[in-house]
Formats: sequence, structure tokens, C-alpha cells
Amino acid sequence: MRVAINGKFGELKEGINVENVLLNYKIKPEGIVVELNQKIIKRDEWQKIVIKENDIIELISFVGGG
Amino acid sequence: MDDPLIIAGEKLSSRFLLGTGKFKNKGDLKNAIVYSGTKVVTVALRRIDLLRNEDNILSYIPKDVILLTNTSGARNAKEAVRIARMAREAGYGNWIKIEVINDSKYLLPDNAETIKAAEILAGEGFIVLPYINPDLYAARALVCAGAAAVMPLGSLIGSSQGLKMKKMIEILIEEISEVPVIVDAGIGRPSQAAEAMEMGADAVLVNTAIANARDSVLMAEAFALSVKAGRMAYLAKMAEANNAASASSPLLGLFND
Repeated sequence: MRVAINGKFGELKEGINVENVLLNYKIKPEGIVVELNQKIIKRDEWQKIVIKENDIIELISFVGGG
Repeated sequence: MDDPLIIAGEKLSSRFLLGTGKFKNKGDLKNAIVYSGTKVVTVALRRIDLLRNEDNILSYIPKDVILLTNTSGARNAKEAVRIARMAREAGYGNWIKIEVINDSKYLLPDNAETIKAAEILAGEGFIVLPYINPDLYAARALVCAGAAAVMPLGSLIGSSQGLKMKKMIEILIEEISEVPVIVDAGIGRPSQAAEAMEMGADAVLVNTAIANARDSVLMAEAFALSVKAGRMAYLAKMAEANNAASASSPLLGLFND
């Protein structure tokens, strides 16, 4: 199914949850924030929340900044 | 000398805050943190690059250093609040540098939107340190909103022009006694950081001048020392300047007649 991840369209398997999206992209969970359709998904919901077609996912982390 | 900087009840052993942007490599960043002795570093939040597995910056920041996440990229209060909430969810504390910028040439902060964001975020329990144009009314409004410090710009971000806003910052230092006044942005040399501290600023935040120095680690240490020297000079109360000369050696007991 088609979703938007970090501003680009991507393909994900049907029924995939948030935690598996991170695993899919080999992203370690420390310091990561997940937003789904502009709503922050808390860490303890990563397993529970399932991605749907056309969802907008933002995977955010810390970078250097002033 | 025990002279901690206190922000929101937190006692910090250094009055030097370090920005972590633009460093040539993360090893330099880590050493700059260690050798400067800073206890607060700013960081930003950005999208993960899904094509490249990048090094996590957090692994280069010692655990006893507070992360002050900026809201860079926010063009209004709403966007700043969104970034702040994300930062808290990331699980590394609730210290936020509110930075609302809607001008791409001068990167000047929007004080009105910054105040709006501060009211919301302080109400949600964040420790907010707003980056502002040095305006007394804005600073007072931020104190009322519950800001933990005010951070006036010395000059334009990344410009290394020093304390172009000196007179206005002096007014903030004189009038804002409830929270620390931290000079942020534009400080290009250790002497300028010392000058800010001699004026009575509570702390200084530097990034570009250190990250862009040929030896960032040495420069970080130089800045930390200058901040300390400036602070000590401020506490020691400096002698007044005079137009006339005043001999330093005794004028009595000369033996040249």
C-alpha cells in the first residue's frame, strides 16, 4: 500500500504497525519521534497502531543545531 | 568559586551553552562539549534520512548534559508548539529553546509568535528558553508567560558580528531580574563573550564561531574560559574608566633627584 514517509511516497506491507515501520528502515528507536497524520504516536502505542493506505508518516530524530 | 547558573531550579556549573550545529565531525563536537565543560547543548529535530543510516548525535553528548531542543524551522507559534511536543516525546527532557523565524534573509526571531508559543508550552510544563530580539516588553511578557530564561540575540545568527544589540541587551540585564538573561547568536569571538558576561549577562550561547573555527575543540575551551573570566570580572566589580592618567606606582619615595 502507498503511504507518505518523510515527504516521499513509499510502499509498505498491509497491516504493518509503527514499530515494524522503524524495523523496516533499520531505525534504532532511541530518540526517535513518530508522527502519524500530524499526531504524535507515543512509544507504548508503536506496536498497537497499524498503518493504513495514504497515511502520512513522519520519522524524526535529533540533529546538530544552534 | 561556586557560582552556578540556575535555570528553572536546575543548578548548572557552567555559564556557557553550546550549539551543536555545523560541526565538521561528531568527534569534534563531543570533545568541544567535554573541554568546554558546558552543561547545556542545543539540538534540532529533523526528518530521518531513510536512505542513509546516520550516526545518532545523542551518542556523542554526555549523559549529564541537558538537551535544549530548539524549534528551528518553526515559522509561527503553532509550529513551534508542534516541534516542542515532538521533542518531549523523544524522551530526552522538556527543555525547549523557542525559536520562531519567518524571515529568511536576517533570520530574526518573531517576538509576538514566540510569546504565544511560550504561553502554551510553559502551561504544558515545558522549561522554555525563548530566543528573542532584545525588546524589554517582549522579555517582560515572556517572564509573565513563565519562561525560564530570555535569550536575546547579540547580532544576526551565524554572523559573528558580536554585540551589535549591546545597548538593548544592557536594558534587559538591568530590568529582567526574575530569570537569567542569556546572550544567544552572533557572538564571534571569546572577547565578545567575555564582554557580554562583563555587562552582567547570566550566560552565553555560542555555536557557529566554534563549529567553524579551524580547531573547534580548542575554540570551545577558549570560549568557556572567556565566559568564566567575564563573569568573574562582573562579580569583582570593575574599576571605572577615566580620561586622565593615574599612576599605578607610588609617586612618593622617588630617588631620581
